[in-house]
Amino acid sequence: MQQRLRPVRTGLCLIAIATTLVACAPSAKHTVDTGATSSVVTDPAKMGTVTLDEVDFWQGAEGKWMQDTIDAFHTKYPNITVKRTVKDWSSIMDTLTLRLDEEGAPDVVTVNNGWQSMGRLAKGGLIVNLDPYAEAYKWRDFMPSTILRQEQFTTDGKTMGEGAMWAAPSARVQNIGVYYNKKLIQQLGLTDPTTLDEFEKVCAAAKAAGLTPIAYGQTDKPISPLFALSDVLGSKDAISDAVYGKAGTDLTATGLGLAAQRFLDWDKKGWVMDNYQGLSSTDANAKFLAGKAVFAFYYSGLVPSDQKNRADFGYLQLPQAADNKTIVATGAPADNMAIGIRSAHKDAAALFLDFLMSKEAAQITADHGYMPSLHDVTIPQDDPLIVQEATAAQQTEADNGYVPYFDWTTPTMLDTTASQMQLVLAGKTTPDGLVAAAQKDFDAFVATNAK
Amino acid sequence: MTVDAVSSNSAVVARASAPHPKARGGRPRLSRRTRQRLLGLAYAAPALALFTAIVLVPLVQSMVYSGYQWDGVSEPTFVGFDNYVNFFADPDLRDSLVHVLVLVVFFALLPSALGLVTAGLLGRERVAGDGAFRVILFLPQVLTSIVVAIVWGRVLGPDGPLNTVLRAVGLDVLAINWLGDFTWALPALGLIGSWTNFGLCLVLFLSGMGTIPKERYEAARLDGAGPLGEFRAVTLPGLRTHLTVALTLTITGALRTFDLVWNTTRGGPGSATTTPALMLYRFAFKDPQIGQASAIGIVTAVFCLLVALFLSRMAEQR
Repeated sequence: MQQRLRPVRTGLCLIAIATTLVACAPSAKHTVDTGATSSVVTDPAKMGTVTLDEVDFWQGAEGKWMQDTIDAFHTKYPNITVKRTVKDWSSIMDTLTLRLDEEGAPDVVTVNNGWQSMGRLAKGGLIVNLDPYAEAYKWRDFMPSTILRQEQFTTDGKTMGEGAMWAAPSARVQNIGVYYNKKLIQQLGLTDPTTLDEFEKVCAAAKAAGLTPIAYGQTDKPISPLFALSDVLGSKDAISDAVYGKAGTDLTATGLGLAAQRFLDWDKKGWVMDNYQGLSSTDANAKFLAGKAVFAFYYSGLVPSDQKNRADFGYLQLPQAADNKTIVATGAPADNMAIGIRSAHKDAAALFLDFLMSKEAAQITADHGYMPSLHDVTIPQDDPLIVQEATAAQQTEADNGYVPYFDWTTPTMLDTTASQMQLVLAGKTTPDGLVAAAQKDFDAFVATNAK
Repeated sequence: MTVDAVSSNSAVVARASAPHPKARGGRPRLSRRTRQRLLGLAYAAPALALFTAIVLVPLVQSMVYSGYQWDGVSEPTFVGFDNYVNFFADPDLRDSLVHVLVLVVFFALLPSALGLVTAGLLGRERVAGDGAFRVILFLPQVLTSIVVAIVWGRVLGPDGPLNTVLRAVGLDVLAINWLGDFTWALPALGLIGSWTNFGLCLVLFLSGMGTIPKERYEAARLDGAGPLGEFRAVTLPGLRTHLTVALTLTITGALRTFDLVWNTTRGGPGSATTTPALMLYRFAFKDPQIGQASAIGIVTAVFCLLVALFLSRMAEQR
């Protein structure tokens, strides 16, 4: 037996050794694009006939918004065709590093803000430094600084919110806010709330009348109520400092703890949807859209433009509790598009990004019933919900109140805050414990990043 | 082509493939056994090449990666065994190991035990329509895991069929959020696994029982064994190899649990249902630490290997 196996064994050993030699240590294949060498063409006529491969995640009614934007671009520049590939969000995010590095990599892709996606792709040299194009097209001139920061990373990969621009924001913004059912509030004999106090009064009345005040499901670990309430109860600067990695930031000031406490109190009063522990956000939102709850904390765009009872719903961007006036809102462009480093048509791709940020694109956004941004456009007045949403976006912009999504703080912050929130609601930790866990996550990341 | 051409061609072929008679003296001729071995290796070569490309190379790659801290795109840092140490030191990762041990009970031990009992009951005599039973019981094994996850997600949902039934019979206390409860989420997931694997175990054991000679049962009966004695003296020893196969498949399956958890609880509530495979996915794709992900993968693979080795040793003994 031993004898007979020897050649096989030797063979296997040889193969193993050979593969070890072949598979050498991991290494960085690309270096960060400093933008120094790019020559920029902005004249569409000089770009020839080009087909751009584009990857995004918009489906359903929102898919139509993106398609119409793309069609309008093609109508304006007939020599450039955009070939769209639609994938769901997480499969794009999970595979971008591989996808951007392969043969036939896409020219234009959706990336996410934050370290985990944009930061890593920029650092890894997989997306194009947009600074030369920003210069040529004057992008920085019209963009609010709060939005611009979300697209910036320094070329040494150590700081977010400063330095080169890596992605272009769509002319559509998405805030976290409160949707409410106007019809149900009317039935309660109340008026639409405009402040946190009024919100709580409606909740109390709804509970007394046997209605579900707040739609919520948590199996998919949502963070929208937590972040929305931090904006209302916390400090705008603290949130921005934390997200943009300012060392030594005390997360207590972000309002995360107060937010968790407030939501916990609501839960104890029975204001949160029954059995939320076993529901997903999708389940809870479906119930809300079916008129089974008064409020829902969610990203704007919750009520689809083709929703039958759309007229029943209203949108509220809660002002800060301190003065019941100033708006601070977690918000970001609905899409951020970057140019793949292997793209053979970078100039045409940049022209597409320029269109994505244009006034025309913002108008298409409004016409589809979503929150336009970057430009003032005509809001369709026959749709009260989009009027409310657009007003909220304008107000946030006017108050310079945009704060980035808190989960961009570190690559693990999304799971840290979401899991901690579940623990708080289950009584397994306290709101202070949540803040401590987030602080630990933050400090650890800032420390490794400083190396 | 002329006949001559064909014959000369084939002569060339023949000369090339068969060793030339004169060459015998010059070079030592390969022994018959060596030639056979080489031939065997040649036959196995395509499979070996494929195996090397899709198993061995990634395996070695993962081993190398696991020694680094690397986000997958930028310059990596060598950290030695830190990622392995971290696997056992990090409380979240350690918890995931505990969870997976609980899942082993539900995915492997429970279905095997139930399968044995059921096989013992069903396999003794032919029951009318037992083919249909087998198909029905085996069905969960055939279903795609995502379908299983979605269906059970619904069944165990707060207003799902299970709770509806519980409430209908007055057991409102038991109608809890199975997948949303810190205590019950893991056992609930485990039971889904038991349901899936039960059919596999049963079918394996039933087919095993078919191979046990009837005479042994008769002999046992003549010796005065009751049904329980028969099971212990004849059925169980006869099913030893089948039990090994069932346990190996289900335990390694449990150790690798990902899809069921990801599609039902995402490791929640809190981190009550995380598994090493879920953490691996998180480290490989969400929070890119390729080195940590590789270390988890290697440790899981080693565990699976140890389980397989241990079980096959057990089967060979006696």
